[in-house]
Amino acid sequence: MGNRQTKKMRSMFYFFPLLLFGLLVFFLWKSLNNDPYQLASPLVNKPIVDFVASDLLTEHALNKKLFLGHWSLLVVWASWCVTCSDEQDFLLSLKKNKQLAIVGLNYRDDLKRARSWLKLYGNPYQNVIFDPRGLLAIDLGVYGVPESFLIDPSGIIRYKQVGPLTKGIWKQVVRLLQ
Amino acid sequence: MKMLRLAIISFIVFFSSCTLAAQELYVFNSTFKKDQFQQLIQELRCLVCQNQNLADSNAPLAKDLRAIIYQRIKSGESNTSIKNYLVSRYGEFILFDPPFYPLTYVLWVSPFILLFIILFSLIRVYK
Repeated sequence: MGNRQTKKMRSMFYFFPLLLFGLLVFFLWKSLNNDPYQLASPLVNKPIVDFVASDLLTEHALNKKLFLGHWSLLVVWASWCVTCSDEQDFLLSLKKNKQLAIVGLNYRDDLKRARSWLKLYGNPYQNVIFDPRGLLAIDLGVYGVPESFLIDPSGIIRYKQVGPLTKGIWKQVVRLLQ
Repeated sequence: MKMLRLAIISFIVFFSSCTLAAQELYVFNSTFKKDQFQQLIQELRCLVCQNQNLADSNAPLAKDLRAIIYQRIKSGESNTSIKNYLVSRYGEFILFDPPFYPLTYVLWVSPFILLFIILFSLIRVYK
């Protein structure tokens, strides 16, 4: 083998681990920005589970029919959840949207405290499902508060949001589903 | 500054549930089911305190899931069935082991490939 060829082979030999290392650094660096709490929900594009619960405010019986025939936003919240009040203003502004029904899911909460919380921070909800033992929430794969689900008129979950909703996120979601 | 303090405090309070816990006492009518329960809750991740399993986590969600798993084991459900129930709601992340299918082949196999590359290179260098 000529001298030039061995030189070329050697430089490739040194280059290859460097390339591997560079790739590794690239992927690890990218992953640093991944939030481990943002988990993709396996329930997207599946129908919402049927349930029986009572309304927090009226104590009427509620079930899955609540979500049929129109787009709905199901918001999981609790009076003990500090960040939940962050999205309240935005949710109240969404109330104007006549095509969207905003439904609350009160998660593992005390009835009185939940009602007072709504009085204090405003009530954007058409109905609030009272889920004091968190059983419906578990059926929805809820693991933190606040979380929200966007449900289409046939009752299929189209999007799940972990963390408070903002105008920016909402715009992206609406664009995604257009 | 006030917001920062509030954020820090609520952060600490929320994650303070991620401590090692003495578990609730669950009674089984067979040692098989008792072992099944202990084994299963160690194989499942707490999604709130993600470095802990359901056995160790004090988070409310972990407590709720332990209660549900207890009921299901008591009524004779298998590990596979219970895992399917949880994965269909929470996704595969709730299992500590990523399952082995084409999408995760790379994840499983890459450490071995890397090992071979390193061994191979070392041999070349020392020859």
